[in-house]
Amino acid sequence: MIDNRRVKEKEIRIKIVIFLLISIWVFFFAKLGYIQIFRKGYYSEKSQKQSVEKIIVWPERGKIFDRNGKLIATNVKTTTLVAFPRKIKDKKKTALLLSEQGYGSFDKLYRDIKRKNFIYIKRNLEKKPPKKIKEIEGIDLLQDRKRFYPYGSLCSSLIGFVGTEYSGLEGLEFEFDTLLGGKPGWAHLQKSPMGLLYPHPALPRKSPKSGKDIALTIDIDIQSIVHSELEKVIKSTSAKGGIVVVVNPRTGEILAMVNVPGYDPNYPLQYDNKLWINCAISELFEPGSTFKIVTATAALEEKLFNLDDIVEDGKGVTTVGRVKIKDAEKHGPLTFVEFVEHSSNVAATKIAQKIGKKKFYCYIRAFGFGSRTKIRLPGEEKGFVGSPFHWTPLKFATISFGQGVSVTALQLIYAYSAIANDGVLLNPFLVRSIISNKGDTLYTSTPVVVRRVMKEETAQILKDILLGAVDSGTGKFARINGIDIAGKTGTAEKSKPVVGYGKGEYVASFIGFLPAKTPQLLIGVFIDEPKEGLHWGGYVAAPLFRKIAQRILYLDKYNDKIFNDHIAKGSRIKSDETVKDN
Amino acid sequence: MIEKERLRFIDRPLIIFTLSISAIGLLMIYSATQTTNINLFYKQILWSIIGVFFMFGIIFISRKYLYTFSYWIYIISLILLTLPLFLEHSSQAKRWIDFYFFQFQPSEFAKLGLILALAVYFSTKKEIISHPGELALPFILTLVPFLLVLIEPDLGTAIIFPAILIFILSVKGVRSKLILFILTPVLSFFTAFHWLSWIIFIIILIIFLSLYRQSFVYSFSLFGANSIVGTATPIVWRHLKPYQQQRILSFLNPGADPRGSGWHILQSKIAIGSGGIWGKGFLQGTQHKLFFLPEQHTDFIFSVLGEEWGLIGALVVLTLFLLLIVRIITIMRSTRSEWGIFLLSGIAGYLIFQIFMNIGMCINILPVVGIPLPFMSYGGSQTILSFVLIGIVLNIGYNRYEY
Repeated sequence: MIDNRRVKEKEIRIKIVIFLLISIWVFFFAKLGYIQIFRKGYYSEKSQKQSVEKIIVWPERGKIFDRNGKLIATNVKTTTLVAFPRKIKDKKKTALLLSEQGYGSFDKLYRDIKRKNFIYIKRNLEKKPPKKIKEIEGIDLLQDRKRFYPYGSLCSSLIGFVGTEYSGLEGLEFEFDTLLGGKPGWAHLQKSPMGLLYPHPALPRKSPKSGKDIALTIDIDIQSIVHSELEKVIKSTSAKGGIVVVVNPRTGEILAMVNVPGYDPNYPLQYDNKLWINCAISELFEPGSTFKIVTATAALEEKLFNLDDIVEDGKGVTTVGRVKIKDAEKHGPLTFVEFVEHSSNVAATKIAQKIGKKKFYCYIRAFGFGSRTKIRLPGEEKGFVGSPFHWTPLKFATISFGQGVSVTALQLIYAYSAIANDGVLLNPFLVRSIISNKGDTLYTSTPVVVRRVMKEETAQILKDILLGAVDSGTGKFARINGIDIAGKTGTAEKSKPVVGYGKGEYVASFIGFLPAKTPQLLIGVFIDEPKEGLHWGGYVAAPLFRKIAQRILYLDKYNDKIFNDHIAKGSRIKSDETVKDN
Repeated sequence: MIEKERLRFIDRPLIIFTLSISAIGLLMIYSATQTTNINLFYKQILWSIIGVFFMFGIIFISRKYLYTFSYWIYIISLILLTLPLFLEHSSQAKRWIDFYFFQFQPSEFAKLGLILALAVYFSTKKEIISHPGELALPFILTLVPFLLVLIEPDLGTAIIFPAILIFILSVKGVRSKLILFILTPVLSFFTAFHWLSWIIFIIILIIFLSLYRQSFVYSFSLFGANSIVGTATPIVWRHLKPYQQQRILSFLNPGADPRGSGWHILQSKIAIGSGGIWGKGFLQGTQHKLFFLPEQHTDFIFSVLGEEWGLIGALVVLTLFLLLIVRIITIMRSTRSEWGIFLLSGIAGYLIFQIFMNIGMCINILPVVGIPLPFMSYGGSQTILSFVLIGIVLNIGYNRYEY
């Protein structure tokens, strides 16, 4: 039945089939080897690239506390509305729906949805989006974070704020950004074809380092007292603005630093960026009469005058070159003590001429004018004193009563605090301690002495003189019953770059400390361009000083502290005792 | 009646190869479905167990029944194939008949039907096929399931039917005249995608026919067949589903459209390529775990293997498949019955085609056509069919000395 030829043919055919099969096998093996050996690097990289995405893991930003542990800046969890346009089916309808709900213009949304892989529709939502938006495939809610300032505008320009990328842009947030910000970490996440990310234990990662917490020297209670009182005065006088700084003259700590008008650091972009400036350190003005302490100090240190020497004969006029310098009020002959109390420009001029330009300049610089105070805040100005070699006689004369130099409010306040601190100038500081996120205190600040400006006896004399200025001089509206207050008023005319003086724009100021003999509190008050009523420092700034001081004294913690030494006097102040004016 | 002595005729190597591949396949399905739908893995275990039962059961069925019921099985398979066309379906593709927890795929059953029917038909022809009329019935037998599957539409599965025919014919033996008759229309088909290439092909054909000096009827009908295929191809092409066109085109240039159908090939290559020589380790593959690899538990199971077990694993499986097929051919060699030989050649052809099409697709040698890998891909009908076919091979081998 089987003939040989066919059997042979069948054998050959089977051999061909097996040969073909092995050929295919070899071919497949070659291709596999090519892909898996020679092209492994290429495909591994491709696999890595499309399946792994590096993301930044943001650290928790450090919190900011006041000196009593109250939160001034913290972080809150929020939700953010995002879109993954690749998953959105009806792009046009989605864009239309979103724009109807007020999440931006249709054109921009539609363009973004068409082009991008990921978009933020709205960050840090205030209210939950309606259900019909949440239900759209490709629209999602993500957890986000936001810097939150519980006290709002109370600390505005002092604390500053952070940007959307969570880096500090102004104030303390900017200055201590690296400290607060910590170090971001990163993680590799697995990515699915839809762009969803999964954590994977085998992939490398680096944990973020949390930022450090900062405790400030600020007392939020004082800050709020100051803020509310300053706002009231600004309103009642229709002033352009105002600055109040409260410091502890013994240590250099800043207890409160308020600029009005301020802004809400929770929503900084809703305000004019001019309001972001911290005027206490960044705005220069001519100090006026408050500057006369420099003249007085120089004269006393150089022993040019006795306290009861007559420094002005009572004419109230002197001429420098061809210009007449006059005092604002009429007065009789003035002793050295009375010169400060009555704030006589004529006397200041005469005294300064006796001191001499160079020596006077040295005292100005010794008080810290013309150089930065090294308070750690961004944007501090150093002021302008000029060089004594270039001072004209008239300029020299006006500098002696505080016109013709420019200073910051903080410089002036620290000059006074040098007197309060028995002649030693201190560095201002805001950071009390730095605390790690585990709760360990990493750094505690201590007072830093800049230099001794005057002898202790001189400081004592000046304290007495300033006490007198409040008790019977220009600063009488700052008086508080039962406690000695030393201070000095100032009414500086503002010079405009083009028109010069005489436009009726003033900075009314008062700087005072209490108790006068053993100072615990120093308050500097500056009202910029008060319009209603009198613009004199004695009438605008001094009453504000009194109001603030009184309210601080109602706080038990300061009442105890300040009156501990004075308990013998038995005059604890509890009620609103005001002195009758005049 | 089972004679103990004859049990040694049961081909043990074939059983070992089959079961080893199935075991590797199950591990791969576990890895592919582990994070998504582990139920599919449990179901596949069930299908494999059922398949193994069928495989051993069929060994001891009398060949007589298999022979006499061949045409009936073929006819039943065609009826089942038309059923999905009339049933209401939620999905667009009409490929399945829904049972309670099992979606029956009649196209798999039809493959068995065609192999059986063709084997019976050719066993009745004693001599080598030399007359085209003798090919008419096998052509019709192949064309009917081919067309029924094509309109489902499932291009990949449909191609298998003519492939089975060609394999059985190559064993049966056909006169060269007839081979020419079959081969030239296929060449016409490929050249017809561009009118210029087709014109050149036709000119060559005319020159060849004038030199070959065959009868006028033969030359004329060969020329006619080529003309029909050549003009019909562009028309059929335009009627193909866009995704089918896309798949054929993307085979030619996979990088062009990474998110379209070239995406499948690219992702498969990335998975296999990133596996390297030793692989990423069992359950360690990232490509399929993150759903980059499409249809990973069915058509692209080989890519999962390549990623996790590397070149070594791929080579082991490739070799096991080769040994499996060579084993079937060895059995075929010692088989005395003509019918048995055709049956085995049909089964071998089916397996060769499925295995090499699937793996070729995964490593970008062949186009993506959606053919599962026997014994490895997930799928109830497909798994059971593969075991049934091995059962038939074992049956023929068991009775290899009978005519």
